[in-house]
Amino acid sequence: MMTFAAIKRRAGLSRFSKLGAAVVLASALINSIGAALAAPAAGTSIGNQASATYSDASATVRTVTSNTVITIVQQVASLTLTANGAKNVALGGQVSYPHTLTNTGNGTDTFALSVGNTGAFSMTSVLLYADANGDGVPDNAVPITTSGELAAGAIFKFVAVGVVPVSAVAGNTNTITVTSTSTFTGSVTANNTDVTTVSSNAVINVTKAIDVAAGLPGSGPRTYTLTYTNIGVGAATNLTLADVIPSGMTYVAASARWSSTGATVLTDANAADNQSGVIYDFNVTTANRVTAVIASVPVGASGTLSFQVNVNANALPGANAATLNTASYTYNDGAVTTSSTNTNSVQFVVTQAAAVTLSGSTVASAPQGGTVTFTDTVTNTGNGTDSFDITTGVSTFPVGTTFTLYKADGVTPLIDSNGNGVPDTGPLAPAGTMNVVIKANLPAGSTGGSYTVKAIAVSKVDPTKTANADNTLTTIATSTVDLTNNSFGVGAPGLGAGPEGSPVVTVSATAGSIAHFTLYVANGSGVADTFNLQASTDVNFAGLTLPTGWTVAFKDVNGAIITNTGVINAGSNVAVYADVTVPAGTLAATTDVFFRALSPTSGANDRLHDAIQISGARTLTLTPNHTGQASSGGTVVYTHTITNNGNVLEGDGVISLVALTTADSGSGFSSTVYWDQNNNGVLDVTDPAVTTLAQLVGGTNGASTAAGLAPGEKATLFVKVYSAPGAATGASDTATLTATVTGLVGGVAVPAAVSAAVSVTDSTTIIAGDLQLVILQALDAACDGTADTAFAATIISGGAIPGACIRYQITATNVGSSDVTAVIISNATPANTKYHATVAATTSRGSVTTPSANTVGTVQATVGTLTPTQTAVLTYGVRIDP
Amino acid sequence: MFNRALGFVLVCLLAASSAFAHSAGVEAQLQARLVVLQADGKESYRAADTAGPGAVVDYQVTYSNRTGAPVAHVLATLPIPAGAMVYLPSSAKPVQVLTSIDGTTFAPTPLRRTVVNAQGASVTQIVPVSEYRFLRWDLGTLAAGASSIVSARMKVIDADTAASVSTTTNNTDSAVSGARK
Repeated sequence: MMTFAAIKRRAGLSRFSKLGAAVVLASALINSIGAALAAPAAGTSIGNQASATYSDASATVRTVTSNTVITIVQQVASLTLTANGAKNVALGGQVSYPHTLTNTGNGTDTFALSVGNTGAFSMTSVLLYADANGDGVPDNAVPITTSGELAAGAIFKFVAVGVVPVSAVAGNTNTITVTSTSTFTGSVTANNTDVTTVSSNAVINVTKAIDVAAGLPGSGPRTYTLTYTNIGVGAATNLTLADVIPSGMTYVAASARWSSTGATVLTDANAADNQSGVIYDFNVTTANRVTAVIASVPVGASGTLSFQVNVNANALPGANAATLNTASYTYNDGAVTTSSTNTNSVQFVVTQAAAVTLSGSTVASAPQGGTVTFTDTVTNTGNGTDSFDITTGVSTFPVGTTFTLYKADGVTPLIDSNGNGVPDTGPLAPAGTMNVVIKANLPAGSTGGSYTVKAIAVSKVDPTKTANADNTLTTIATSTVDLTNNSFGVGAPGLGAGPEGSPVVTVSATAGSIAHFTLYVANGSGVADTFNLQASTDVNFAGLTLPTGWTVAFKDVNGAIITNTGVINAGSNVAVYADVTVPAGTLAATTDVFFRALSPTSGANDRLHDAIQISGARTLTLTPNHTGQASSGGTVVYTHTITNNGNVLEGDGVISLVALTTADSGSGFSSTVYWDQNNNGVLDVTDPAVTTLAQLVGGTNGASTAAGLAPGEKATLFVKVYSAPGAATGASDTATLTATVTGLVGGVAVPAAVSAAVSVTDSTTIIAGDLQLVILQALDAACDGTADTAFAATIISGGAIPGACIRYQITATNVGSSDVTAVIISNATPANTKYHATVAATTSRGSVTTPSANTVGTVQATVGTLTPTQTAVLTYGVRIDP
Repeated sequence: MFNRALGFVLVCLLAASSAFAHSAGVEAQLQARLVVLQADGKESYRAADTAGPGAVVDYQVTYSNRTGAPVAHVLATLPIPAGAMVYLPSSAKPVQVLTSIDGTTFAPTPLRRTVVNAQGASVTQIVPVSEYRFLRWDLGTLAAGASSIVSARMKVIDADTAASVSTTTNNTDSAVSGARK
């Protein structure tokens, strides 16, 4: 029956007939299942939002929500019309039939009302009248042809009143058809038929009314009144009124009154006692039913029967069947007992009382930047289905905290299901509860507690009904990280908060090498975090400072350069390498180095105190060997350079002792060591004789100012050789200058190679003439063959780069007392240079032979004889090999 | 000079880590389409901006992994709007779908629940599809840059749906109230 009605109504909806197939199929599946549902109202927004949870690379479970899609519900017209009627009527009398029109569409509609009649006789007139109070009697004398505007779900009550012509014959019947047509969709109609039979006997009409047609659950008492009238032409007997109390109401004992007996209470429990013409009972003849038998109703007589009911406390709100009441009646019309006829139906509307409670929750601890999950319970303590908007209110949480609302699973977002733009619980039945999850996403940088945020629930039915609850986070646990050497966890060097007072691990390295550290970064907090890796000699990391020339490179276990650990899951750790590059020439010392792991988000950090010990390297060099000539009894000065190529101070006379000694092989020859204190490259009278490097103090012009030679420092030493008086021409001497290094420096002994090699030799040959050779140099940076500066004996300190040229000036002077004959000045092109011929070699006397341009060889000036004081000057250039 | 260089490194490093903190996640794009039956019996779609009671809406969600790394245990959830929609059984794609009435407990269809009837006996009852409120698909692992699509159809509740379920609802209620006694 239901299915037939549904299909029939659907057939009327021609605008949906093309859509019908799919919908009908769906309906067929749903027909056997489901919950209390109502079509959403036209204009309702159906919002939907998908979500997903997933585990990201750090194994953190994350939630994503989609965009929200909104579908607006369109209007579809639908109605029901009840009920068909059947009554007897006297000749020339009136008959009225109550009808109820319900707008079962999902939007406001207006319904046209029309009537027609056919049968053995025609009604003199059939008119429709409004019956707003549903008592089955026209409210006024104004006929109507429309229901007026009806909201979705609204009902409209009216009566059809027919006037029977006097020409009708007893037994004739007439059928009135009442038709209601939707204005929104004209093809949607419904009709009822009212069958009228002309009677020559008694005709009783009964209508039903209630004193107040709406109220709260538990309200009352309400009074129902049944009014009967004999509109026939004979007396009626045994009018039996029957009224089943609906399930949402409860009969009030001893509340029945009959108009003929006034204030006399009609007994409820006795179905046999005749109380002055009425036999009344409740719950005796039939359970939960009022039954009254009135012995006689004369022609034209009328009377009332009333009783009271209370509305049940658990009555569901709205115009429900549980509070819908229809009575029925039969009587003997003088000939037969009529069949049971229904009165009009009276609907009592239970008004909805909204109420809500909300309970909060407390979470003891959450990590920095973590997510706190509060579960609050919303309970609908009202009497009707309601939805509750959920919001968060006053919050003492740190700035930057975001709150999101989820359904009980903590994953599905709470969305707005009732179209007011605020997330809500969705429909909750009375006494229904729902858990709502509030997630607080904490800012990474905040700690401490406690923090509280209010949750608020607001009734959709009655927004003045609200509830709120506190959600408290007792504390935000401070994030921690531990930076250790070589291992992690218990026993790991550097375990616990740093910096440690002394180096945890000291790595030895030589200057010019890399010191390797293995570090473990352990994330001690409850959330995944990342850590920047830093190194500094400043324990406070005010700046990331390292000694000049030092660099640090952090690497992952695969050797890739990193500056950040990447994500380390809660409670996990990673190994990283710190490679500290120590430049060549770094002094032997132990240098404290601090490493730090610092989270840029949570600020969690740990410092680790380590150290690098640079081992000592001792190298002292003395250059070059020389060959010279001297006249018998004369002197010759040789220039040497002593250089400290190690990384420790040598020759300070305290720890490192460096003695400078000379030894001469030639009989009668002697030599003395001088220091070029003013660093001008020439032995001056002020340059002191020295025997140890400890005497190299007070130097000027870049010469050593403090005792000894610092790493990388050099000094110019002169060896002045005194030839033996009377030495024969051709006699020779080899003066050996030796720097003897002794003493431990930083525990490092003098390498054997150092003490053995630090000596130079100066070979002196006695010549008859006293020819003195002086070689001077000057830079010719552009290789144009012209010296850029004056010639000098000093070191060319700058510009002597590969490809540049150097000009040499060699002066031979006869300082003796007799002629020097067959003088030949020879000079080999120095190592790593080649003869430069742009300006050819010249000599002030004699002739020149040279190597080919850009080759190595000897430049030679054949001077011939030099008389005393006479000079010859050889000038040529070389180019430093590019 | 050394300090400045290291300072620069530090700046880069902070930038990199902040990029981590706000890295793109998985994106979810939801689309609602109205299923329209054409005269020739074939289906076509139009945007479901509006729909009358009884209309069928096809919801389709595209999940795209923008994290740059694979993500695992992807559980896609699509709610069924309460008070407005009912799920059309067997319309979920992929077909391996879990359903739930409370958003917490998910199980394959048909959902069942145990209630105590008026006679005091525990009986297993099939939950009406109209009470289904959530669909869930286990998409497993989503590779970096990959997308996965799920869809399901739902019907806007109409008078037929509402009328047809009211009788069974009463039955259900009486069974539940029996349990409370």
